[in-house]
Amino acid sequence: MAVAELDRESLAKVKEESFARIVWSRFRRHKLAVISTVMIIIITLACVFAPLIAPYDPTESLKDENGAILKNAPPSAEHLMGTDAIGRDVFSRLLYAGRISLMIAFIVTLFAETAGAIIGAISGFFGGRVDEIIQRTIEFMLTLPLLPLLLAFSALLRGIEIGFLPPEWSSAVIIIVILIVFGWMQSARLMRGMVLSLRNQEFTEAARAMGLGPFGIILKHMIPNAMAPIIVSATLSLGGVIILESALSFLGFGIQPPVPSWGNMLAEYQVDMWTQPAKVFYPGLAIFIVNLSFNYMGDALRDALDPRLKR
Amino acid sequence: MTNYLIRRFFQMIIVVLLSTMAIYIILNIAPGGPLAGMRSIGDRRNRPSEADMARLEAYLGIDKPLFMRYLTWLIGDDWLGADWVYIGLGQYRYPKLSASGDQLVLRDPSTGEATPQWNKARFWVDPGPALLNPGYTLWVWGEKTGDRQFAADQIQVKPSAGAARPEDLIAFGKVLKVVGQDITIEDVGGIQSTVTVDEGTTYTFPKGEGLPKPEQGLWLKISALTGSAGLLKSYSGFHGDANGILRLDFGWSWKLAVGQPVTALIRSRLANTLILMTTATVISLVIAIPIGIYSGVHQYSTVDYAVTTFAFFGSAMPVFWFGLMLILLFSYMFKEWGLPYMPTGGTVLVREAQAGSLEALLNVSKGSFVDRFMHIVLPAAMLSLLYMAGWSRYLRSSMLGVLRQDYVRTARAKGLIERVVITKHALRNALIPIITIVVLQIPGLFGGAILTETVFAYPGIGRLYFEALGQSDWPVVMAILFITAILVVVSTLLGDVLYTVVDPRIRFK
Repeated sequence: MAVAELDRESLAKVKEESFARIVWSRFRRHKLAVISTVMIIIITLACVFAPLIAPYDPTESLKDENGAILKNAPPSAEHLMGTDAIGRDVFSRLLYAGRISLMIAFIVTLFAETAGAIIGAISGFFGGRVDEIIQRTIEFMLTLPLLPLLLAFSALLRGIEIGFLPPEWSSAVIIIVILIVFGWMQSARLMRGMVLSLRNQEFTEAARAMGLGPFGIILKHMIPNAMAPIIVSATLSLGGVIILESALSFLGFGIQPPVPSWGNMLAEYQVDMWTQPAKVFYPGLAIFIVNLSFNYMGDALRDALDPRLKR
Repeated sequence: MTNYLIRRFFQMIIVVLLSTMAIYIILNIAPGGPLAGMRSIGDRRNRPSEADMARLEAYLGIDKPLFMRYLTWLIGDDWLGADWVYIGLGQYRYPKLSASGDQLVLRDPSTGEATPQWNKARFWVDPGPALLNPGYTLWVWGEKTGDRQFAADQIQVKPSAGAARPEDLIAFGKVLKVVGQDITIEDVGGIQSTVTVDEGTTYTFPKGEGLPKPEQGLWLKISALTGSAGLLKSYSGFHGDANGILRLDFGWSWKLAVGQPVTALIRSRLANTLILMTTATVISLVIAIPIGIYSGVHQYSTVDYAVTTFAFFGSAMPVFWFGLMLILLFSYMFKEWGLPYMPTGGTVLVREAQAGSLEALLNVSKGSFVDRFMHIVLPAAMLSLLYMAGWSRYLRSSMLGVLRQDYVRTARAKGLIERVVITKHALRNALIPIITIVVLQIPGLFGGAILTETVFAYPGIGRLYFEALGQSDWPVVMAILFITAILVVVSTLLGDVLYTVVDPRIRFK
């Protein structure tokens, strides 16, 4: 008896490992995605360990040997990307900014896409009254404007402090919550569209005939088979959230300075883009590289997780 | 299906109503508002008094409780009996304008004599006599018409606390409320009376209240002004009864173009936005669909990598940054280098084309088709790149999924040529995610692109919305959001209908 149990356990374990290996071997076929993954890991680590790597305090105005504020210094060995108009080290700011921007992107995407996928699957699978209520809610949410809402919360945004978080991250929490609340509808619509088509196919009939309950079918058959557009949507969203935050910063509703985010750095530096185009180039480049990498990774991940792919 | 559509139609109405309600509340709880900052104007002479503020609030209708404001926006306020208009004839700048003299000009614009200077006049509208705010103490002269009912010939707002009461008063007391032509007042003993006013009633306000003197303004029935000639409505600066959005009265702008109807503002921007957004959407669909199909069919080929990178290019950058970079390159740097450069923004040339610009080179005349085209190239290119990325991704992804299904293999096995297999069998079934995403773009065709329009100084709906929001011009904001909300519900319905077209297995009951 004990032997049999051991066998079953080890069997399951082997199977799981092999699934991960299959996914990885498929993922590897997308060469750009592998390079992108390495890039993302390096950038994420650099940002996470920003306090160790960054040579200067991101909010401190640096002074030269005469005690004057080091304004708009050109790139040099001490200041890899120079300093900005009030003497802050651009490279240090870029690293610290990445922490906030990447954190927002990861959290918002994770929650919004997961919630959207589950809600969409339920809506599409059950249909009828359930579908109507969920879809009308989605329409309602789609009609709500983001900017006035942020305007309404902007006073709150500047003053809020959440105990266990560093104060500069508290305003990020509000943005995260708002972006999640406004971010799940598209993936819900996508998932529902897929499920509407899938639920009438033969394998769903088969699963039902075998006595699987509705939630079992949703989890085991609907969501895995409809995952492809959700993964695309999630990868677009990872970059999209960073870009949305930068757009909000450009319009004045994003993460509030002096806390740096890639978005508000871009918004801040674009003022002198005619005189110092290099400075505005760095945060833009960071967003561009991260976004491009996420997109390649998403393509590869979508291919790797496709349940219809046998090998 | 018909039953389903009918039910959807009623659901759409409910969704739009709820969303306008929510939007209205959000706008009103946001800090600021149309009168923000007026109390803190530095120069005392320009700072409005409290009475002025109250009057402005009454003028804009924001003195009423929130649900009444929403109802007024939705169904109008004429059912409240608001058929009185107060005309204060520019009491500061034009003190000598005689009210009765002006009234004649006003009544007969068709004779062509002396166009009334309506921009210089101020109009205040309120349900009932706008200026009699609750709490004012009134002295009333006139006739007694019944038990505690009076018809007023003259109403005087009590000049000061210590003033002696004239002997010939028929009623006095504090204003409790004003409904239509009836003012309810309460005297010191707590007894309430109703004072009815009419066209002949004159009003006197104490000095220093910032209120117009009677000779500087007059009360008129709106019907006398708006009658067959539609007199006042043809001039800016006036709003009569609100008819409400359900009767297609979108109201008038508060700040961006004071007194102009919102519909005029939207109409002035609508064509620009439609041109830009439709161009961008069509271009990106035309490019994204072949890219998506090709990437799906030839997965991991060199061309797949190349077109994928091309598609990602635009979406990987923040729009405003990309736009500024485009302007930097094609307008600014090209000018520096002496190359024919592109216009930086706008929709048409404002002046004659400057020497060295692309327009001058091509000898483009102001306002011509080519002129418009040149101005739209950069913003449309940027937006197309932006949309293309997502759409081609979704199509590639679903093509990959569909191409491995049995019926595609069957189609191939039957000996159909690859092109037919892909376009007829695979593509049709790969369209569901694309439909979902592209129909969500429809409201954007109207709503425009805030950032693109801002960066390229393109006068479209998106920028109008953002400007209106910044200045708390709520009627404009509400009108745009209302139309957008309708488009959202209509486009999701369109999406659902299209699902059933591409996949007949999908049925709605």
